Amino acid sequence: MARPEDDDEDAEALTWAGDEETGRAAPRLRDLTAETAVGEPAEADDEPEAPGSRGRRRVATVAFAVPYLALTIGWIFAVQLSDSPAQLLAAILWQFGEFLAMLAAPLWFAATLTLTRDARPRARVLALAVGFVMLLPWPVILRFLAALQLAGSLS
Amino acid sequence: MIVVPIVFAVLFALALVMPVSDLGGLPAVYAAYGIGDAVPWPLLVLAVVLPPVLYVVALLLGRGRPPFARALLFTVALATSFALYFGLVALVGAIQPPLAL
Repeated sequence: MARPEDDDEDAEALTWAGDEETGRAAPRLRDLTAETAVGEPAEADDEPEAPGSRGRRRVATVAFAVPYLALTIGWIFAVQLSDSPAQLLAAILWQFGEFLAMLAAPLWFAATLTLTRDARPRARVLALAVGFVMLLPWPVILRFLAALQLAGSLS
Repeated sequence: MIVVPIVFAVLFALALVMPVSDLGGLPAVYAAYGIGDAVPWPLLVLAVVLPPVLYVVALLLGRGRPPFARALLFTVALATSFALYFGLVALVGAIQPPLAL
């Protein structure tokens, strides 16, 4: 049990000689109770989340995880299909672009999760759906369609 | 605060190099192979237009957000811009008529 004289000793231990002159006489411990008191109203001001909203957001995230993984794999294959230009500057830009194209799907997914953390589930689903459509790996899809057409003409 | 849009403006300018180069050079190549009428102008123009449009979209979506979120949005837009460009390149190759030498 803390005695008043213990508090005085703590305060004395946490001050330096000359603190009074420099205006730093206060104990150098953070006032945790004051911080908590400041932090609480901000949380209390947040709008209450609709019941089930968090669960729906989680379902949307899980449902889109596999398609986005497929997009990433598709872009890794797409990059293998293309030939980079012969000129040095063009080749550097091309490979930088290929690197980013491979990362586009996971980046979009991560950005959506980060930026729609407090948004409605519909906003997250919409962002993930738009990303899925925009990031379809057309080089692979077109190659696949051409192969199908070739197979159809052969049979 | 202005640093993030400026840095990404440079990166988006780099993303424009290849589409602009295609727009300037591909018609001459098509003409040399005798397929000058088949130049895919809409796709070439779309490839040039997409990076600035995506930059503006990222700029607008990032307004009022912290620098990290703005940088994340710009990075996603840049990556999307390159992915769409490679898609358009594949599409141009797919619809290209047989070359006549």
